[in-house]
Amino acid sequence: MNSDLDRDVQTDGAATREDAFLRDREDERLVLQFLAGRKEALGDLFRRHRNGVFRIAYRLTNNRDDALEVTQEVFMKLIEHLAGFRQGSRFFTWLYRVTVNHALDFVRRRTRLAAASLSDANVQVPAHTPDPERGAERAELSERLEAALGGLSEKHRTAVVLHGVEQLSYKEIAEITGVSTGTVMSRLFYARKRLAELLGDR
Amino acid sequence: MNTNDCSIIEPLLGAYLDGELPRQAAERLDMHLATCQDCRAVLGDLAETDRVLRADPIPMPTATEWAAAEWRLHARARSVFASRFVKTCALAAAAVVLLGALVWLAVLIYPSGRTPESPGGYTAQSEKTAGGDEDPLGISVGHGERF
Repeated sequence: MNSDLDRDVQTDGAATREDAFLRDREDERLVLQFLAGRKEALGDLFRRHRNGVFRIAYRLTNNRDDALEVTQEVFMKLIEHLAGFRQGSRFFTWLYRVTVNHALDFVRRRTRLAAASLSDANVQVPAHTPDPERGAERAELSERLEAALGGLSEKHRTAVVLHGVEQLSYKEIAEITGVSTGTVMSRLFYARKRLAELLGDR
Repeated sequence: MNTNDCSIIEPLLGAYLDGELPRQAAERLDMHLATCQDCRAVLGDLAETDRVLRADPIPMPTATEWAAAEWRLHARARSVFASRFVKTCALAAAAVVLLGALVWLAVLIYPSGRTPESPGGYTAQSEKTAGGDEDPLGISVGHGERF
């Protein structure tokens, strides 16, 4: 197995244009290999992108277990839908779009379930279940940030996560979210302004 | 761009911070920021949110969790590939059966020695008309005799 594939793929803005080009070419090569029947290519794609997918899922779901489940499901979906991947488009923007949509769906489902259980059992259920693994050791910073992110709309939160966590460019965020770069600029500005207010409230 | 109007400048501060503004626009914002404390404060707030986001560690899965996830992924891929293989085989078998049925049907309708063009086992053109002698319309130019 190629050891290069074991490391996380760099998608941040620091990557040069050439790095990004090589990354996209390698992704495309692996996708084609998988479609041609080389099952190991799926493992290579998984190892290249799992960290980025997990980070996005974590910041959108606010829960480690949920993020791991979303990551797993995103790659499961990949097996079925990879045939629909359009050659020439960038694999990671396609993958991140699936991740964002799936993570937001996951949160909506979780919220509906929490609301249903609240009305059924008439008990107090927190909107966000604290992550037991981090528990009392959770830093104050994390709690403040998670509460503040939870106060943003889905669109604003997505923009902040893609930019702040994965350090994607406006153009890449526009590709993932299907809006113009001008809209990304506007969303990111207002989202960060609101985030600053929410962080300052605590 | 009016470089003194904060309401115009402010929405651009995020793109300025991220290095996403064209050079000329960025230079105009430089000029504005040099004299506007309010916009510098907004810029500071935006930078602070980025700092907080990047400073907060994300509890990444362990190697064991990743290995388990990858194992499940491969299991799913095997199952998808296997079901595709079964589907392909079923389609191929169906095609063979259909072809066989068509051949059998053709043999039933057109027994050995007969062809669709000559149900009586003769060739398409009868011996009588082969030379054009018995042309029913009498316009044959076969021998140039009855034109």
